[in-house]
Amino acid sequence: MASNASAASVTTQAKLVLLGDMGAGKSSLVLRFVKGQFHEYQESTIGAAFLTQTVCVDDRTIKFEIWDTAGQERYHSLAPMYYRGAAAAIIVYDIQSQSSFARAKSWVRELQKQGNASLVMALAGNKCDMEEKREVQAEEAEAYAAENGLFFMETSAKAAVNVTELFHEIAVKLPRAPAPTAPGVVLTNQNRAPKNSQCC
Amino acid sequence: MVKTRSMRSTPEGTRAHPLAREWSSTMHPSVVREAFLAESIDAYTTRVRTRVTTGTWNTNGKAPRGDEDVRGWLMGARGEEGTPDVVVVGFQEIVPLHVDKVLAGKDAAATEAWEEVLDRALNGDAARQGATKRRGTMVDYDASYGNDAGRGGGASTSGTTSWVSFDDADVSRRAKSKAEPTYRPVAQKQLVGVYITVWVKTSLLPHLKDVRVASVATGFNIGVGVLGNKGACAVWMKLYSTPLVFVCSHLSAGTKPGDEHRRNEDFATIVDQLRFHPPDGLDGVEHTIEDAASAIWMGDLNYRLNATDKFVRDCITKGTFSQLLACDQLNIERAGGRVFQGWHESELTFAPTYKYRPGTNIYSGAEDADADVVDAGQKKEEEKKRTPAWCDRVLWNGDFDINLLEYGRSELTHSDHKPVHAVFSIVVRELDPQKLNALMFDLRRRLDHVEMAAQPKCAIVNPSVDLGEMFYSRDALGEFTMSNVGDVPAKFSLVSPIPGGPATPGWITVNPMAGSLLPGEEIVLKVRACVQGGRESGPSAFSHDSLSRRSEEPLIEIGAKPKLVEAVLVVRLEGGRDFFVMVKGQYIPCVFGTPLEDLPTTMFPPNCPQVISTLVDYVFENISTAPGIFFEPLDGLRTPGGVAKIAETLQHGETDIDFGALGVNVYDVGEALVSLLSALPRRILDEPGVLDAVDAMKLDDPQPKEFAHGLLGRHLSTKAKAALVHIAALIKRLDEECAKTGARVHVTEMILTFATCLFPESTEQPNPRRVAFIGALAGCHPSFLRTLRAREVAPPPSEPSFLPGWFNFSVSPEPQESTGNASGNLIDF
Repeated sequence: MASNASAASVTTQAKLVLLGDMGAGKSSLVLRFVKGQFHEYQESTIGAAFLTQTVCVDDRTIKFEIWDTAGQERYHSLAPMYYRGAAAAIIVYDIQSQSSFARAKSWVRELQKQGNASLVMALAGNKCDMEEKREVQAEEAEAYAAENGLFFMETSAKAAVNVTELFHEIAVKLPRAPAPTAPGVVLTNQNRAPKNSQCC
Repeated sequence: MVKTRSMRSTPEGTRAHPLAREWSSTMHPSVVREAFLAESIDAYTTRVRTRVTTGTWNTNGKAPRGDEDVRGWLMGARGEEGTPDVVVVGFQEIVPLHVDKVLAGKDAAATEAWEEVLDRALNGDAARQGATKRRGTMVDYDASYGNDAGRGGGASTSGTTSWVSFDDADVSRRAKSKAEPTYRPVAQKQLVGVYITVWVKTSLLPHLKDVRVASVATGFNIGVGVLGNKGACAVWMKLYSTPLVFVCSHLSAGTKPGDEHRRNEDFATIVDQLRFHPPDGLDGVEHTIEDAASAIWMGDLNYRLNATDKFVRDCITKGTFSQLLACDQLNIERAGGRVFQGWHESELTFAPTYKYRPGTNIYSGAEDADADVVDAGQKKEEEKKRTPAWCDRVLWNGDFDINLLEYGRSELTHSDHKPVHAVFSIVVRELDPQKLNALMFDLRRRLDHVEMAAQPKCAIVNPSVDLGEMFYSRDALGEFTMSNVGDVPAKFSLVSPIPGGPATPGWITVNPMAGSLLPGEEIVLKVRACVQGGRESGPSAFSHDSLSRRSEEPLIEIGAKPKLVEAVLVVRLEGGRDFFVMVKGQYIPCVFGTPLEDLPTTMFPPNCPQVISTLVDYVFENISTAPGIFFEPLDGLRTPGGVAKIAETLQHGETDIDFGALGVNVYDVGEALVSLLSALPRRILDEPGVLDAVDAMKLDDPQPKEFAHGLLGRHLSTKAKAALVHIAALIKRLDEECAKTGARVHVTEMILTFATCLFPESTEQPNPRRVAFIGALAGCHPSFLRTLRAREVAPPPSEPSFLPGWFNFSVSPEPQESTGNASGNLIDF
């Protein structure tokens, strides 16, 4: 039980990038996750916003370094700046738009081409509170995700559905880092954290 | 003296609880560690208040009497307040320090006798004959003791440590039995006369873990090792999560002045050498006293009083022994920082504990000694005239969770020392993983928010820069404004979307490229775009989307309408977000940058592109009026905006241009020619067949003109060939002109100019084979090769890049604007 002390103390940093069509709700998802807020009229992201958020999963602490990128097609060519070296990617589409789903698929293909096998990819069908205007069926996206080895969730930044869960699930799926080697770690006596091997 | 661990020396850790420091040692980054250390340890641990009684007694080598009762010493006069949870007893001279005993190392019979005394005192009726039997249920905690001599070596003998584990089943079975003892011995360590034993309340056993023992000998050095007639035994254990250390030592004796320094040295040696090894076969880190949250040190430390015998005895008689405190060697040495630094001792309020006449409460060597003493041996002892002293002491180390409750002595008369006891209240702590996780989560969340709040915040007012119409070789200007709308200074810089790539495409410059803004400040970033020259900054640069290189399609099409060209600049705030700034303009296409194959051709010479013919012919005819053309710095000779004017005129498709009327001169036309050749999306000699053949050329012998022309015939298109032949004629004419004016020495530079703009861009400048090839092609007098070879052997020291000015995208096309960069020069010398 005391082993949790050491686990809680070690943070893994993970670069996470959000990709997807303009207006799919990337910024809103991040804002909901990081600040618990939602803005009905979220400004379009011209550039890439950078946010950090820590999550604790089981015995691990993961600090997400989130790059929320611009969704406009004209900035497409800049995306590699953000997904390069990423540990995780959330590809967002709007369930009310088949074209945004198609765009999501093209992002998946682009990421697959990068050949980063350890990249954790999540497919998020956002705005799931807008059931009456749904164009993309959950089953369709689910099947696509299964085929391509992504995990899939329908989310709503507005209604706070599955947002924390989405990030949490990514954290769970992140490969375990061998040992904390980030600069600033005090490595002297790194085994000195309480152990439970001799516990009562 | 005492090693300071890095963990303890961290400034942020000095005031924190040792457990918190230990737990924080693997935390990163440092802000998390600092924030954690600033939290109260009570937020994530459960406190358990324990009463720890320690006792030290030099028993003078005498086995206990059968009915020896030490309850008064260990269970305390105020035992009603609560019985101790942990009892630690340190003995010195538990065996007589005779040579045979010292060499034997330990004596089970002596320690067993005392353990039985302790058992009776602690467990009363539940005590059993033979405490060994009880300990027999434990793993032998000291089985490897015999290896000490072999392991110690060197200056001292360090005791092997062992591990005590408990049989849970055994404990619970005992709990059910009627005669359940209240205390159980959990650790013992003997080093000749020094013996430490720890007894713990049975109810606490489930919370006791990681018990280790160790010893350090500091006695006589007999060459092969140090004897254990003096030294220390120690126990390391964790109660809940709190590591505790108990040390029992017998330091050097001696009453001579300066003997106290030997005691200091003993202390230093013990602290330095005491190592609690992880139990055999178990992973773990060895520990030192420093690693304990609290440490208690007891023993016959042997410090004496620096006062006359008479003064000491008078003070004691009068009961004013507080006057003696200033004479106490330990007090003096500690105050001088020579021993027990950082340790605490309560003020002595009891009489010196040494040296007594055994069996009495009378100090040895008292005036009445002779009268009372009948025993001859004792009489001899008394003749040693020992001045009373506080030899027996208890000190503690640790600034958290430990408080002394009581410090005193007992009046047992068994030995020549009185036993001393110190009772502590120690708060031991159990880590609450849930609370810790919750705290860490909360703390990191808070840090996230602090971090994000500390992010620089800037705004770009007009993140789209419209450059309007753009013409070849003419500056297009734009700007955007960035302001710091946050509370912290912001550093910005333009960054490349491609690792290692340029921050801007070759045809765009931004000034400044980086900078910093104080809160409330704003800055205007000037954007200048100029399409000119080679691949990086010329129209052909548009044909490569420098960001993704997705498209091989040229964006500029000949004859097409004005074309929208754009680029995205990335402005990064250090530690913050990125901005995208769209720069766009309407490029008005012109012959510059148009592929050779798309250029209209002349009737005569056949197949030669019209523009090349026009420019070449004009220079050819007017060459005598333009000395130095194609090789000299031409500042002041060229016309401002000349190339742009020529470009514009050529665009209109005029074939017969009156350059004079246009207001440009031969130098301008010459530069326009070189510029045009450089700006071709694919340079005339950019043919693999040609390049391979040229690279394989030998430089030793001049190649005949036929070799060059043969290559052209095999590899070049009709149009390229025609253009090249035309240009070759100009080069030949220039060669002759140079010969006429005695400027032959410049021929090499002139040929180099053409080699540079006819061949594709190359990192090797100049490329001697290419120069030689162009010379051969034009049929130049082979003497230029000598100059070339001379350059090869000894390049001029001041030689800069031979890239002409137009290769540098940052160069202004206007000569008068030129700085030290010699912009606009045909050759940048």
